[in-house]
Amino acid sequence: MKAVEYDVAVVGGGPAGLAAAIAAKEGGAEWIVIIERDIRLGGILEQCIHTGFGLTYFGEELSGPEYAWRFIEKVEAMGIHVELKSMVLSIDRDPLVIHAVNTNGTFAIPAKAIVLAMGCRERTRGAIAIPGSRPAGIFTAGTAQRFVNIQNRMVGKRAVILGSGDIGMIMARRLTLEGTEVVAVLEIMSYLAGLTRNRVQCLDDFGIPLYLEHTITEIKGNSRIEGIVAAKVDQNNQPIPGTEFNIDCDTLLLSVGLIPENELSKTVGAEMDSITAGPIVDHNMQTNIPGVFACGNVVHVNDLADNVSRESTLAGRAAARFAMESYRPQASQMVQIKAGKNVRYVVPQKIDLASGEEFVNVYFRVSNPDKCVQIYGAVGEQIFSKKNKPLVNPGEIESLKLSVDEIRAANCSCVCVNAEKQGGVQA
Amino acid sequence: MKTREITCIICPSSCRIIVTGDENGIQDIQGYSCNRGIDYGQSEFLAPSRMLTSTIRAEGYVTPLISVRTDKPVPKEQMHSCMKEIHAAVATAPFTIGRVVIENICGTGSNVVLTNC
Amino acid sequence: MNMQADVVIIGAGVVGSAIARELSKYQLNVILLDRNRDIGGYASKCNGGTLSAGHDAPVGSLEAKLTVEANRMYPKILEELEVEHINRGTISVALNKAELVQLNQIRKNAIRNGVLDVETLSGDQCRTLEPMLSEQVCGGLLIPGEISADIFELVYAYVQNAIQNGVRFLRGTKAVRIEMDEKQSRVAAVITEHGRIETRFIINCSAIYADQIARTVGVHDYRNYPRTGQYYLLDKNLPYCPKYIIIPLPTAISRGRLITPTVHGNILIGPSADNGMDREYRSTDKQTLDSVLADCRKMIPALNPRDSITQFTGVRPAKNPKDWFVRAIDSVYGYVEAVGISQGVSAAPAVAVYIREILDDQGLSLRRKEEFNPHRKAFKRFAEMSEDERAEAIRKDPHFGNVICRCETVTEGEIIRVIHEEPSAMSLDAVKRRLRAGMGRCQGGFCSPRVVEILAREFGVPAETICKNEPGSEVLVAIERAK
Repeated sequence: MKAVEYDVAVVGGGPAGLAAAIAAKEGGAEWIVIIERDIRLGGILEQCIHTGFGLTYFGEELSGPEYAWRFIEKVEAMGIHVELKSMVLSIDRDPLVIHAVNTNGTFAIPAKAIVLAMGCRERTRGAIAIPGSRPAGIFTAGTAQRFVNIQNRMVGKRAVILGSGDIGMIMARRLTLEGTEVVAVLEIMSYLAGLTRNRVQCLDDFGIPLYLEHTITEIKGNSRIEGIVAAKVDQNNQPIPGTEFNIDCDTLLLSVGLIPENELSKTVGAEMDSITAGPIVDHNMQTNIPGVFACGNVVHVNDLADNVSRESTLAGRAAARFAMESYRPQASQMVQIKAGKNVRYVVPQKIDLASGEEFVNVYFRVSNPDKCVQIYGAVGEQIFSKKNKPLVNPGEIESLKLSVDEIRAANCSCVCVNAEKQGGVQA
Repeated sequence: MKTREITCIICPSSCRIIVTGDENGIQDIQGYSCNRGIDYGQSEFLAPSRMLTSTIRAEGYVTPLISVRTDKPVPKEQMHSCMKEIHAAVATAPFTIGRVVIENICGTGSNVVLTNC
Repeated sequence: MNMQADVVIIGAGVVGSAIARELSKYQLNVILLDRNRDIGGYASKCNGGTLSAGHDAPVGSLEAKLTVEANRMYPKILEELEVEHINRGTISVALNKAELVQLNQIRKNAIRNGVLDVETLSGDQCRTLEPMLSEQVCGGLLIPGEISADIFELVYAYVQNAIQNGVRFLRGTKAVRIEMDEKQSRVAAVITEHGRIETRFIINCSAIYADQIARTVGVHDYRNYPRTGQYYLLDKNLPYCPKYIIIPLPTAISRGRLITPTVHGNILIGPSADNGMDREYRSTDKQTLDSVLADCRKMIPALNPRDSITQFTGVRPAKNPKDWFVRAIDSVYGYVEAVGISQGVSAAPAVAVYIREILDDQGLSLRRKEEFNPHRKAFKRFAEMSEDERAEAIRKDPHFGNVICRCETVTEGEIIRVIHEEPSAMSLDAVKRRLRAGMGRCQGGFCSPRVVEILAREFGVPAETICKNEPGSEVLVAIERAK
């Protein structure tokens, strides 16, 4: 690894890091490096062998590795430096220095701008406190996916899956095709967490039963899991006594949520949003630390890689501008964006009015599913940019385009994004 | 004559399409909201097919497996026999995206191609 | 297998391993065995992580005597064995006037036990030391001598030092019964599931299974049963983490539900104390965990279950009658036992000396080994090395540059080392206990696929034989088709 000062250093070579690095190069930065801990670029996409990627970005339906390759090809062609099998351990703030390690030694890499693209980790059994024994055979879905798709291993013979998110459903199909019997998918909410298309092609196709409004109340088996106890839940997601039933299994997959992986962001002192669990960013994906940008699942858990690529392009471009000193954030020109009615969180959380864009896209998730909804931005009684949506649900990210001029004219410090049932808003 | 309820997967509306027919053709189709829904309902009733994605053992590759998929959908009822054929096969160099590693899998007319390199 | 020894120690928990190290100072042929593949037994590898000062042991009991003695011995031992520890101290809190009266009695008992440096605190003084304590705390007792330590590391260090000094460790070797001579008056051998070990002395430290061994020599005056304890483990760097160990007043059967800042910076809440029948039962349940949390919140209200990384159950070797038996048996020459040792972690080195004296009384010749080396060298964890130390480690062995556990920064070099160094790590949990790989926020989600492959590679075995802990807990299953 060279100790040269890079214009832009990108931490993580998955879809976010790849798009950011390419955008930084296209944006005029010369010296760019991607630091990746695995043996190759691509990040989590390398184990996402299923299709569904690139529908909006390329207008094609690609598998994860194929989608990643479109970007990896460009990275190679553009001469962007890549350091593989290298783990970033910490980041210094003033000046910006990345501390990394690989089998060649330890490295301190100075950079004019840094893009954090470390992705996310999976929520664990411990984090949701499932009672019972602690036997072998319990995996988070992504860990099982790594065993099966990369390492040619089989995780079990008879599996139950907790969580109807896309990862859980996709693993239901994958395990079935590889010879594991998947006996049930349990979902605590009353609605499917992931896409209907996945329920059809991953569960219905194979006759795998889906139990909505169910959870696991106990895990059984001393050494290897022998079964679980499932129960129906009430409106507060609490198990209803008397509804318990046993399901025998030797494997349990948990698909119970993703958490942005921000340990490194904390070492550099980035201010965090407690709802997204990611750094607070402005519309250029810059954190509160000048020169430190963040994009992809490390900022908030996205639902489509295509959106990650788009968002990361913003970050890469802005990082290049920062490195070439053609842009500095103006604290005095920052307007906050807040989550309003039925909105759980928004990204970005700030807009820098001085940065020169005409429009800003705000991405958000609703707290509860709803029908016939109007999405709009508001400052007090003043409404900006409304649009109607027949259906919203927490599993899909929504967006709202805001006009920077309109916000500037409103002379406010904060804009609220709302998703309200129609009939409750003055047109 | 059979009637089946099919959940359309083309867009998030997930229309419930009711199709009545037999192996010779469709008698009636209802519940769709657009033309793509009609097409999907028809093909799903008469000849349901699926894109198959999997991994195949790879010799001389950076990991023990390499990802593959069928280049065209295969009949749904042949998915498991296709998987058997994929499990029995081994891919060798060169590893390039799109390269055919199994031709005409299970006589379906679909090839299995590499999706990584 | 047909082996010979002067002394066989049954059980490589903290007591057995402390005895092993003690006896390794003498010219003796010592074998330490354990039914499990990994050391640490049951209670010793899953407990509250503290070395108590002995202030709350029953006055005048053997437990009190040995715990207070051990607390004095520990600073030197922890230094010799290079075991990570923090001299924290404990605050025992009273939540109402009645408890204040009890606390005063505990203070008097502490002094009677020889723990003289205890100090009475007012409620405000408690909160000055620990601002996160509840307003309900109306008084406390400060016990400076309690130590936070990595107990597994302590057992590991004891065993390593014992092996270094000539003790043989037999893993996965269950002692089935003791064979006596024809007159049935003295010990002849230990019969294990892998063969016979001829020996003059046997020390039974097999905790919850001790009574089963004892019966084979006709000792029937006690029975063991499991007392499980459920814990919450919370994250590191929490704003409400205390500096002291915070304990409530004890109950009839346990120390109560404590709040323990571990030596690694996590918070442990618990344990409960539930008597049971099944010695292998290790489950947690919502009701018990909820009550543990509720009790601890009375002391620090800010405790948040959302900060929990995991929950688990430890098993203590309860005994009926409940007092400690550290003794030889008149009717069977050569049989010695240290059983019913609750909170044994805190007393282990003193128990070891006591046992040594019993052996001496019984006629075992104890000649000191000149070459005995009390120092066990602990390897510095990569996570704690300076940049220069890391560069040097990688230069010597590039495997130290391959970070496997991202949450705790554990490298492949360290994993390979603990696999090959006795007592060897053979499973995911064994690696975890020695290195903390898998103890972080992702709970092994990232590192476990890699650790499985490293274990399989280093042992030269198929990946599907690699266990989470003991045989039967295999992580993967074999692929039963064309491979």
